[in-house]
Amino acid sequence: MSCTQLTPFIIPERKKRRKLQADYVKDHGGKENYYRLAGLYALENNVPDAIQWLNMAFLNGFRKFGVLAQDESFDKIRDSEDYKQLLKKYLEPYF
Amino acid sequence: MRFVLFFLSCLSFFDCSGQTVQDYLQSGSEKYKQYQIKEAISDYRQALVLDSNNIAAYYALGEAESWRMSYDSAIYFYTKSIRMSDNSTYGLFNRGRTYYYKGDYEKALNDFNQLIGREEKFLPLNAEVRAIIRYRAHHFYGAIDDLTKVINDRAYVQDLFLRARCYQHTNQDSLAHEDFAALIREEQQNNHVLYSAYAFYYSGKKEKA
Repeated sequence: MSCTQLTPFIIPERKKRRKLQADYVKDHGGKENYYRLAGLYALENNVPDAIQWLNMAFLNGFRKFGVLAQDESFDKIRDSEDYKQLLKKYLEPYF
Repeated sequence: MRFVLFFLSCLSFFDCSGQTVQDYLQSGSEKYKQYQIKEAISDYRQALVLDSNNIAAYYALGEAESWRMSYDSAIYFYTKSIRMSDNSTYGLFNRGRTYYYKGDYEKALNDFNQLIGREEKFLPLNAEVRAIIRYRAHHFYGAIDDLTKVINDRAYVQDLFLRARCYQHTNQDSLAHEDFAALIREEQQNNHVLYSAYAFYYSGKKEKA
């Protein structure tokens, strides 16, 4: 079954799917996984969850600031105060 | 006289604490690995005080400055290292990447074009990074070319995902859905879900260049 055929069935189940992803990430861990889950929430403009998972990624050693700066998934939340504060918190010690 | 000159030239590689250029580079690199970026930069600068022509120190400074998002300084140091090492590939790769992080896509592409032009055999990493830069610079057809070569060499889900996004931007929806479906299959085989989630998110969207 192709993705096109699946799409109408998948979209209404987005919340359920997101929960599955969150469970998967909790089970498997990993900074990259936390980062990508944050990206998914950011795509949906869900700032609190995006910030929470991005924070988790940083706490677990994610430090690819350049990648984050250019990642289009985070474009929607880049102007939010929480995102700026989070970046400031992790970058400040290095200046 | 010769002995004095030799003694003075040796002396220039040590400072009053007895540390050599290599010592500073070594300790800087250890600090960098532990994310002590400020301290690492200070060590690299000390190395440059002792030897102002040290390519490794310029390169390391570029890396450290790029890490803390001081892109202009990073580019300055990478440029120095590139000039001194006769266009080193590492320098070009990292300066190109830094231009990209800074959002200066045309200069980033210049560096990667030079790099890829000099390749004797195809290196997927260079093509992949150039595709990402082309994607952000809205050169979607160029990005598709690069990604197709990369995917023929080794198919990673992120390459399939990016090519699908390029197809969407160029209104080639059926090709986009093929790539999305391929990456979903790939992730299912490896028990992963994260790029599939991106695929499901974007497959419902219509984009125009």
